[in-house]
Amino acid sequence: MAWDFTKDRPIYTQIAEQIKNQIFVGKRNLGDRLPPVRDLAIEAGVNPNTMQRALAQLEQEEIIYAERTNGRFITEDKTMLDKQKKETARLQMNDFLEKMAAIGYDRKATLQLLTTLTKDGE
Amino acid sequence: MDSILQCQNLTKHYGSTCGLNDLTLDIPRGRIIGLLGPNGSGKTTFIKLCTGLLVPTSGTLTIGGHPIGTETKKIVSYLPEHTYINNWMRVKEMLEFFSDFYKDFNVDKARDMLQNLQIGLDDKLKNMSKGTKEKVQLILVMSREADLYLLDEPIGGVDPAARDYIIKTILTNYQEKASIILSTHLISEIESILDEAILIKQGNLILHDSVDEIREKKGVSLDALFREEFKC
Amino acid sequence: MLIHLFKYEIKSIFRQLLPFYAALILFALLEKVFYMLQMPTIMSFTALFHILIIAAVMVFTLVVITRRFYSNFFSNEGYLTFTLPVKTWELITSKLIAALLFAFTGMLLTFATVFFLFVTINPDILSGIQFPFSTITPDDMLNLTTHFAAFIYGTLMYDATAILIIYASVSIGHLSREHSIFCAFAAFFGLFIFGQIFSFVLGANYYVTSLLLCGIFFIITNYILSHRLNLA
Repeated sequence: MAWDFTKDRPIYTQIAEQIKNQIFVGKRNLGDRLPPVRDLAIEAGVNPNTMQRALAQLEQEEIIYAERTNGRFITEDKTMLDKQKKETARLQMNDFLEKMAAIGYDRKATLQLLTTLTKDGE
Repeated sequence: MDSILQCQNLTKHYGSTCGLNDLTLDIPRGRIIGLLGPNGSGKTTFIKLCTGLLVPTSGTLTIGGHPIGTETKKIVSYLPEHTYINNWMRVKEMLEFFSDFYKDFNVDKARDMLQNLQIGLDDKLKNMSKGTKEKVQLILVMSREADLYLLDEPIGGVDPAARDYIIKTILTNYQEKASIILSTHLISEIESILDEAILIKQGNLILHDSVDEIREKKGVSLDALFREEFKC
Repeated sequence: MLIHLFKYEIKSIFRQLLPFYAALILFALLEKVFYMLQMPTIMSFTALFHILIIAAVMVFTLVVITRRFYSNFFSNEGYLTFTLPVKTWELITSKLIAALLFAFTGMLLTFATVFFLFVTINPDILSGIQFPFSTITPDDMLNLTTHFAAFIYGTLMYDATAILIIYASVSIGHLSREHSIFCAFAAFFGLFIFGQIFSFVLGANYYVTSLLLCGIFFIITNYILSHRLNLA
């Protein structure tokens, strides 16, 4: 029922991330109107106040904006979103490279392995 | 009023045993709060003091600005650990009962929830399974538009699907003027719906903080913190 | 709120006593049937059962009243009862009045069915009971009314004292977790003896002392329920 959350970080930051990812992947489209806080909270299985904090963070990052009477909308700024997507990808990559280093693969080795794997795959 | 519940130096002794020791709390409206602690830590004692089922030995306790009494009972909706509706009535008579005594009882909401669970209004309570009775009781309690909900172990001993239903019901009924205090020892299940956590150990307050703060300051989840505090 | 409490008392107790009332009426009717069919032996057996039912009504009225008090307050149902937005004295009073009502009903039905039996056997009784309007004086009326009122008041007081001593005893029994039944019986005897001594020492007539005793037993019950409640 609820979304998955890890135990080490505040839930609201994880919610914000998951919503961002949904936008990146296309589950939510640019310019879409977001459901009301309460409905989102129930969907995610979290406290409405927590969801509120997550949305506030997304507002601060300008991923979403609020129109006083109409509700919250996802930005239409494709360029900015692409930049964010790239930044998120970069962070994920760094994470991955650190993990590989932890098992003894330096960057060169990792790149070699990656090339092999992707050649065999798609 | 921003606070829904305030207590100062609240203490309860049972003969020589101390159930609750010098508890001071301020609980704002619009929060979902977990009252956490092992069995016998004082959670149920605190809840019973709030509902008027026990009287304090010393200290003060007010809900909505009133001392515990008829006025607080009007605005507090209580779900005890054990079912209390084990009697000869049918479901619809139970609805009538709640409507008679509680002005804030929303009978349409109750009917909707019962229908969603396919519980008939003519069903007799004494013929129901334990799980169904518990659900009926939960529906009755959550259909009241109260200022404070006190749920004592609402998800203990309940199957995972029912647990999800209960959590969803709690979230759906959330209102800004009301707060919900959930007492439980199954923390990982409900951590994501809590605003704040109150940890009690042997009648004493260990911690009262927001769940986000706990994760940020201590870098651990509530569940992990609980295990740490109460390890045997 | 008192009205609502009263309504549910009536509902609960009536369900339990209805079989007995129905049996009472049934046997009275059967007696008439057998008498008209001129079957004296069967009729006397029916009359015997009639007497047994009368005894059963008296005993079970007391049993049902006591059981209702106990289960509504001290079983799991207590979690519902004591969180209702009503005062403790309202809870006790609604039970007391309902109990008195059923005590009177039992008595009335007993008299009615016995009178019915007598009339069946000797219809002349009806003609014999002519209200002597011509010879009665206003003084006589006053006299009659006073005696009747005294009779009603006396019966009321007698029943109320009996009911309240049971309520107080059961409440005192609740104070002991382990030996509640023993304590209840001990309290009953204790209060009974206290009642006797009290009446003797006071020396006033029954109408006054019974009223005072009712007050004392009520206060004891009210205190225990308001300040010493400790549900499992």
